[in-house]
Amino acid sequence: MTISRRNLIKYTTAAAAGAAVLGTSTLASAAQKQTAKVMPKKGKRIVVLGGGWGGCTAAKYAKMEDPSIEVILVEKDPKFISCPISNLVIGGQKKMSDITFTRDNLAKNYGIKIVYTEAVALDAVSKKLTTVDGTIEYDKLIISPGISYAYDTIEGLDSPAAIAKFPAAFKAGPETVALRNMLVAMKPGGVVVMSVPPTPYRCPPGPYERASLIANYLKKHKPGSKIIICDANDDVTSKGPLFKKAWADYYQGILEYVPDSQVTKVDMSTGVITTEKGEIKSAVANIIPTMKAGQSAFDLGLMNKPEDTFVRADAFTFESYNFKDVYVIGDATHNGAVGGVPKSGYVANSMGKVCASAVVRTLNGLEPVEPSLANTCYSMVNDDEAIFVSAVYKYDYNIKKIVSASGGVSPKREKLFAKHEEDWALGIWNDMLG
Amino acid sequence: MRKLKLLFYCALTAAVLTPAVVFAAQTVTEGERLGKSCAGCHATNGYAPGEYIARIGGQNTDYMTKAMKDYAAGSRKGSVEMSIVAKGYSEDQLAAISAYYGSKKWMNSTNKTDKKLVAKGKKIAAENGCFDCHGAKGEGMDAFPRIGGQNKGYMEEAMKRYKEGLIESEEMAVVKDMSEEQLTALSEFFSSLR
Repeated sequence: MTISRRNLIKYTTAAAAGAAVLGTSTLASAAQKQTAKVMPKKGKRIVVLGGGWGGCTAAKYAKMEDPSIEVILVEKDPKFISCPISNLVIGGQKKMSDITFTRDNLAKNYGIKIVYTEAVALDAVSKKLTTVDGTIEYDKLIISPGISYAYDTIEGLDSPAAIAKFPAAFKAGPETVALRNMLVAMKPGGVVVMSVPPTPYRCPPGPYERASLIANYLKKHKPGSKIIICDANDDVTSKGPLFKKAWADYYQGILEYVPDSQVTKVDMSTGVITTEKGEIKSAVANIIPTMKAGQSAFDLGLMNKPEDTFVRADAFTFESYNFKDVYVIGDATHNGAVGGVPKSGYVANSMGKVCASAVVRTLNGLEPVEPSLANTCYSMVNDDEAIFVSAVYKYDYNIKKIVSASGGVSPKREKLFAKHEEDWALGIWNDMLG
Repeated sequence: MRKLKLLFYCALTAAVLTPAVVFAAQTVTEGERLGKSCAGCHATNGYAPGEYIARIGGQNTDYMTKAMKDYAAGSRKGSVEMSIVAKGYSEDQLAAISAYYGSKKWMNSTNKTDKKLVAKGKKIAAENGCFDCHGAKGEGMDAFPRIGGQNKGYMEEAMKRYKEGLIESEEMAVVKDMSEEQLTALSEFFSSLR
């Protein structure tokens, strides 16, 4: 691995943080660094925090709408790893390199300035975002925080070692690889446990697609093995009849679905998983805890009510309830505020466009236009067949939320839909990063 | 007086020289407002990079408007995705979205094509009068779609639907007697046509 400038900064910062415990001088220099201005602001400026599906789209579409506005994208990970399609890495159909990209084209093709650093504080009054590498001023701030896991909802999932033993892999990256490797290393006859968190969570059909692809792998490579889905919900939350049909046709005796069986406890020494319905001894366990907004949403003070775990934002513009000129998009948004849209990559992409337009227009003294969003999401059920869900969303002026204008699922699974899934990914990756 | 005149000219020059983007930013067409979300599948500006999703940027507006209305009405069967999506918009909105993508510059498919199949497809196209409606470069006109430089998998699937009668069209009845191999060759040819 070559050490990029960004990594050098990261390592230096980490070293400084470690040294800070021992002496105050390094602590002071770290603080000095944070107050130093990154790229002093001249004209109109939009800062986008979070370079995932929502953030990359918002940055690109803001520049497309008005190239004269300066757009800065702040993100901590130099690599863009796609969560959609990552189930195919776990299932063995794709490699990490197939879903790993850079954001270089956003800089090259649109003039977006990308800063690889971590945000630590927000001053929404003087409009400053503090990062570990300095303070960035903004006129408008769009935050796409993604999700984080509520590990504390499961007993025993309380240490890095326990988390490594039971990877959630719902943020594509090292955990995706770890889970794949565990499956490959597992002895035939082993039991795989997967937990589905209570709604709302990122990518409603995601766990069921993954379970299907793991069952597909076990069927071919691990005779005698099976996967048990422990679902916190009372039924399959998305594309239910289509998944169940595929499971009945292909994975009888290999895939077992148990509703109303939320995981309450894990034991890393024995691999025993405890659910509301009993205990299962696992060889491999993909424990997906209850989800909440990404940590930055909490750290930057975006939560509106003490009990909130997702961010309330206006459904017309995605401006946060808490701060003027600070907008929140993607999986981290609160469905009670924005309306009944799924936490999908496609919806984050749509939200990014709506929000970018609202931000650019208000910055230029114009009224934002009415939101229009869509969603299409494919799930593979084996090596070459897929199912999907599609919907169009519009703004309802009476309830001031986003509502469905049309929607439906594929009538059956088809090989053609699998080709559409592949090309859908190429299309939406292009729309965010190209 | 002279000063006033100068001011007038300055104002005039400013009005003329004001960048188009500023003006464009003020008016968002209905087609743009609604059509941006289509790019989630069809890519930015409708230049879908894959094989099985259609390129829509620069497609003929009249054809797209008709296709979208037929999807919504359920008379253009086969693409389940588009049948669901098109129902989410009014007829006027579908026309606006079509005009939005129709106004973009066409960009040819980047699909790889097979030389032998392209040659075979060219012969089939000439023998069956494809160029009569779709033009020498497959550029189409009005209600006849542009097929030159379209993505090949999408075209092949669309032609299969014409063949099976899922999409009704007198003109496209020409594909009813063709084999699937012939349709593959035609798709390869038209996808490669510039």
